[in-house]
Amino acid sequence: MPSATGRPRRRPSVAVLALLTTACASFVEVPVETPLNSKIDVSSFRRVLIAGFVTEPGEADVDLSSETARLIQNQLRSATKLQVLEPDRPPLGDALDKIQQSISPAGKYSKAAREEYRLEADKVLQDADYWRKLGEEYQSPLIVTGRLGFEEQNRSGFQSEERVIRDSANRPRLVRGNRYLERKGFALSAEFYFLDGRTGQLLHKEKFTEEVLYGEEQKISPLSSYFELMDRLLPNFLGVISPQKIRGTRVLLR
Amino acid sequence: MRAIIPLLLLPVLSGVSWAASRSEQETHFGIDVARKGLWSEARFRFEKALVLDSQNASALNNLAVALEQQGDFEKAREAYTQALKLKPGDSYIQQNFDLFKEADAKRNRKAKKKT
Repeated sequence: MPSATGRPRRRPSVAVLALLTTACASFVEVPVETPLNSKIDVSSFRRVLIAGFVTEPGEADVDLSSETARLIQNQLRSATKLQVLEPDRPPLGDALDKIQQSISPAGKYSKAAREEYRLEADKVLQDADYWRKLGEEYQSPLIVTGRLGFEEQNRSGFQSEERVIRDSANRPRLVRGNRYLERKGFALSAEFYFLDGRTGQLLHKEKFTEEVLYGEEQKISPLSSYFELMDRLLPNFLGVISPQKIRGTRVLLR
Repeated sequence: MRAIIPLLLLPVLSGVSWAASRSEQETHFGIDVARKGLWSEARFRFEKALVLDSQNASALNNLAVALEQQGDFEKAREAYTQALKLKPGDSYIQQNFDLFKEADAKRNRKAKKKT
């Protein structure tokens, strides 16, 4: 565009404009990572033992105890300085097997038998003497154990929805109605116990619950769902024994 | 006599503007190092900016961010509050403070979640 003097006016380049904008901007956005302290101090431990978990007795789609033990071991290896002990079999398994044998040698569980199993398993979880002996066997580690549940969820039902339809004169019209939606998924509940292997005493106990639902067209296996839910839950688990970071952005002013 | 008073005030006023300008320089340098992730140095610069000019709301806001980044949450809260007192209604400071409070609530929730 010519200027008032008739000479063509120079346009500032985009780079110059960008530079000017940056230089003149009154603020700068910066990423921040604020520390979040761990809930328990595990600095006095050199080792950690995932002792296994109490689960519902009987057949299951996912071997919760061993899958969870393996996942947590992997996470602890990368997120903490603790030496992660790897027994061939989670030690709690032996104690739970004994309970199962005494309640239902055939492996079939009535409602009452399940309840009895839960009560007996709870006694083991709270038995400081049992955990102290186990701690001695593994050179006084931090012991992680607890109770796990993984259940199918059915949330199918009618849901209100709005649709646009066209009448005979081709005019759009909003119609409200209900539609049956099939939604199934899984819920994972985990109550973790953190125990002192030197004394068998409980240091901390925490419960987490996660749920995921899928539409009727999604065919997701229980194992995939389990991993999806554990992926959500693990940062919270790790937050109990190792410091975490809250990521965000803040504005610095010139 | 009346003509002398402004002349007497001149060194005082120029001293004030010199301090304000140095404070601004320190603030800008603090921002540069903060952008490189050098938060301890940034904190030092923002603190220095405030020694030079205690009314520098930008430096106070930036100091609050540096304190937050370093995990000094109580001091960060004080700095945000003070910055807002100096610049009430400043949307940037308010936004930072809101985000700080949100993160703080998350921290406290986690601490209280022990069952």
